[in-house]
Amino acid sequence: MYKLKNSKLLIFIIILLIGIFFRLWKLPEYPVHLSHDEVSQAYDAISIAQTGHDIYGNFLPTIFPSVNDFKSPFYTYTTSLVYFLIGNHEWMIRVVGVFFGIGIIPAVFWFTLKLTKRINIALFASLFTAISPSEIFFSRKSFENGAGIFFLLVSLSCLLTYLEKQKKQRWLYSAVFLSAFGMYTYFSHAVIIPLMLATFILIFRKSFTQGFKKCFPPFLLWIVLIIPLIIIIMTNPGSRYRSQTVFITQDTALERQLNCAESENSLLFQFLNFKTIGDFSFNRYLGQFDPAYLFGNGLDLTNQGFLNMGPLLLFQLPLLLIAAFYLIRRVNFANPGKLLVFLIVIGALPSGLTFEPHSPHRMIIVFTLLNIVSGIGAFSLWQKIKNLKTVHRIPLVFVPVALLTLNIAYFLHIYFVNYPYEKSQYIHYPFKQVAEFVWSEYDNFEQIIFDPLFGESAPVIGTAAHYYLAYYGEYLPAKFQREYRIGEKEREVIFDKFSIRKVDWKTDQDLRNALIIASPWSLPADVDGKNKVLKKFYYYDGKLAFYAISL
Amino acid sequence: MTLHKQIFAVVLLALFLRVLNFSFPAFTGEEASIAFRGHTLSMGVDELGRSFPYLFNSQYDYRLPLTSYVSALGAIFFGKSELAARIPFIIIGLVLVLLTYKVSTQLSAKKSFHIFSTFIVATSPVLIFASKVPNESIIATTLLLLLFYLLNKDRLNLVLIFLTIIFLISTSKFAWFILAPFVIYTVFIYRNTLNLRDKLKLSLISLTFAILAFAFFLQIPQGTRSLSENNLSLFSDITITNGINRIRGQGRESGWPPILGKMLVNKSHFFAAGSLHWLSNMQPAVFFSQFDENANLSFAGMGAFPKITIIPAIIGILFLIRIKSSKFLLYPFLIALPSALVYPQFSPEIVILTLPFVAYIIAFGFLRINRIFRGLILTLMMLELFINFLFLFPQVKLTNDFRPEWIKPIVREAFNLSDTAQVFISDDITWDITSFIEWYTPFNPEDAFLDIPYPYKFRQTNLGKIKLVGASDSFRSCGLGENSKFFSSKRDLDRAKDLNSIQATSTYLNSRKEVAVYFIEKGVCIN
Repeated sequence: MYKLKNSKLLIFIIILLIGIFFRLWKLPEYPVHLSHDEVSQAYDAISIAQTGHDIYGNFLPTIFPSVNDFKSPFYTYTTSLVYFLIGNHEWMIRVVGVFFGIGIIPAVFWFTLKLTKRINIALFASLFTAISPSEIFFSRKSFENGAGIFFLLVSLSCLLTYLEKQKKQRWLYSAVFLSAFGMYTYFSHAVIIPLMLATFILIFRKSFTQGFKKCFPPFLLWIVLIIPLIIIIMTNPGSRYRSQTVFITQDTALERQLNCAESENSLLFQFLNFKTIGDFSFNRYLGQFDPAYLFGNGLDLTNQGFLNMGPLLLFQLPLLLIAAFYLIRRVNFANPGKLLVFLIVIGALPSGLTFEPHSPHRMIIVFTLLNIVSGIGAFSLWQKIKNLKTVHRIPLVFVPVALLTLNIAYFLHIYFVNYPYEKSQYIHYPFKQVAEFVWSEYDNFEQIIFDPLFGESAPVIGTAAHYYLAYYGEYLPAKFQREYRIGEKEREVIFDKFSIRKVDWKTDQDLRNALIIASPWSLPADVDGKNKVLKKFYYYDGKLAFYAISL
Repeated sequence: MTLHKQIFAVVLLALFLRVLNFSFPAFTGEEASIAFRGHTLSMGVDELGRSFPYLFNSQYDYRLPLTSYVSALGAIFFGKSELAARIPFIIIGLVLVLLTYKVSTQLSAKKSFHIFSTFIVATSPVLIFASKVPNESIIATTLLLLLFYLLNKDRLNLVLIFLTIIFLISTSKFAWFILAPFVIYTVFIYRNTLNLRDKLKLSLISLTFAILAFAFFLQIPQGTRSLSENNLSLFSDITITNGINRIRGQGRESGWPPILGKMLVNKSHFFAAGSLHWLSNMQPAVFFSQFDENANLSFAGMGAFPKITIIPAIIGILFLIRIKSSKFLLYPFLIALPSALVYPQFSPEIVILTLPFVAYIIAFGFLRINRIFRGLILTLMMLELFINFLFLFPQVKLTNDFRPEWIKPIVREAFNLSDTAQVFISDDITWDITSFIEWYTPFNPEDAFLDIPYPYKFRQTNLGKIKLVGASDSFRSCGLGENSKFFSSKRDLDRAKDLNSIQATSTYLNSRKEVAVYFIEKGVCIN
């Protein structure tokens, strides 16, 4: 059992406070707008809390249809608990994410301490976790993946503690409960957590001195705990639909390659199909380790190429190389090194098998593990520096600290300043303003039509429009469940006097006592001059997003 | 089997892989132009009629002379033929394989290492591709490895080193950037057994030649532009500068002090962008899953080496770090350094130069693997390679735009018709159609001769009675006595349809069985 010296404890507390500060500072204001994921989870959470049903009337669903993306249930149910505690606040949806985002810092500390048995490495690892762009970004983004990572790290820490003192079964059972629970938090965790546990057992198999027989009851318990999850995944059509829609076979580049492999010989075609998908998947997987993505632009916070932010700080790049040398050359780090490497390899699988070239939200565990590896690199560097004379040590400490500070400051600039300007469309800005305006005009019109087709440079159909309207109108979920229906017009959904659909100006301009909210993509260029425009809505950077037209 | 017999077997395998499906891959426009130029140089002039020039034209840049003169050697012996175009580069590819063996004897005394490294280079799909088509990369790769060999010999042969350097700087402009760092690193850090005088001598020779090459090139018209556009595009890339201004501007709008904006967002981002771009060129995916985006230099879904070799590659890296021989690991990164300056395009032609060194790292990994797994890995390597060679049609379809095999009957028909009619061809049918016309037809080179001393990105559009039609050309109905034939793309067909009673009488399909060319037998002339 490690007893932290007061000085080390103080350092850890400072690190934790830094992490808390970066995650909590102006949390309600940044990101500047609730994304479609956030607003849909928030409203579904309120609906569950008030009625026990989601907004479509499904009783305590095991998967939330949401905006046809079939979300895993954990985040919504925990948010409904938060709703019970604090009521409806816009920032309530971010509480769970930030809670686990903060929790990952001590989880990393504990896991690294147990793995490496070096407090200083654990401190460095938790420091990088506290200041890592990916950790901060996803903590503030109401993302359920962080909870799974928290549970995984804590369960691995429990397992490592059990290996130290194998008579205390409670650590083993704690690992069982936590790892099983972690699998329920996010879809990909249902796959990678078992793989990671299996990897752990394989690497540390010789450390199980009490033999595997003692582990059999906990293993059985683990199976029992995950059976409901397996049933959900196998039987829920939403789960299958989601898997199909995000799998790599949806990628258009792969489709092009498969078209080239078409053959009249069906056996040959099947073989080439299989080969092409395999080749493409392997390439997609390896592409997750592109340095430009990891350190340059992987978080995609701006549209300015490398004037962007990766999930990791550029400062961490040399540290990772130093860590690699350190781990490879030290025999006593063989198992910890292997574990970290294999966890990283497994952690990249979900992102490597989906249709997007990069999916940082599916790979957060890898970034967390790379923060730990960066901690090892920083420790190794510190070991070399601290033995130098003071006159050499000072500049060798000052320069990296200055560079790290600049790197962090750059990230904060990109996140708090540039991200809203550059990417407001991607968090559905200004749907909130549209919803609030629409409710302010509710009594003045018989029908309100909202076409969510929008976009700064190209038209995209915004999802969750009905969620925005319902949430910002504090529309009772019970009423929404009764009112909601699919309309007959193109992409129409209806509730109350709201019709969310494609605006066809040729016919819609003849409507009376109606309010139309539509973007310039749906309206003629001269709509401003010829019609009564009540209000214009803008993206964060000031470009025109929507018109509100009174008919 | 003795070592020499094993090496001979590997060389035979290398030869087999390079002559298998001899006409695959089809040439790109650039490769066809080198092949045609080789043919004309065998008669004393280049494709523009210049007598033994030292600098050549291409669609993207100037071309240094060595590659074209190597191509001419093939034409001297075999005339204007596919064999003539490919054979010099196949031979250079085989020389590379042999050289790999020689260098392997310097790196390790283990015979199995010699075999593995030679085998890996022999079976690298990228090096196979590069050996089958006229290109400078295979020559530069061979020369760079030769230079490494000569610098690591017990007795230095300055004449050979000198000649190798001259040939290297006559092959590729990227070599000018690599040469001095490569030599300095080898003699001062990697080898470090030479006396200081020899180290300084070699470093000075390499530096002098590199500087002379730059100095001479900058005197040439468009030389600065050529370097700026093709070798130093990082500094002329407007997106970084625009990005800096935009990011700073948003900061100021938000109330951040301008001085802070300048501290955080400034020209140091050029360094960051270049560094990350350099590392991105060297990422694992390039070596083991997809060498280049367009699958021009390797099979689609294949990297520089078969996928399974990632395992021995990782083991090789671990091994070299553990035995503290990690200096060798720096070579691929050092050689690929010029790719940092070629932002934002990827530079597979630079990464090719690193492949023999990466092959050695993989070979070190093979030494650490037990026999059974080794056999399994080797089997899977060959399996992947042969499957790709066996089923070429997906690759042909995928590279439909860059390696247009389907262009041959079109240009041949066009040439035949030019005997009796004016022939027009849309210039957007494929990249650089001029080169295909010149190479695939009995085209008289004199029809394309022009008095241009320094042709930079010059596009020849008049080829005797064949004229290329561009987007800016306008159409009219032909008058009496005007006999024209038009091989039209979709772009020009839509424009020509405005003329009265114009119809495409036939079509030509590309590799994907899509209509690529519409043949209009009469009626369309150009203003």
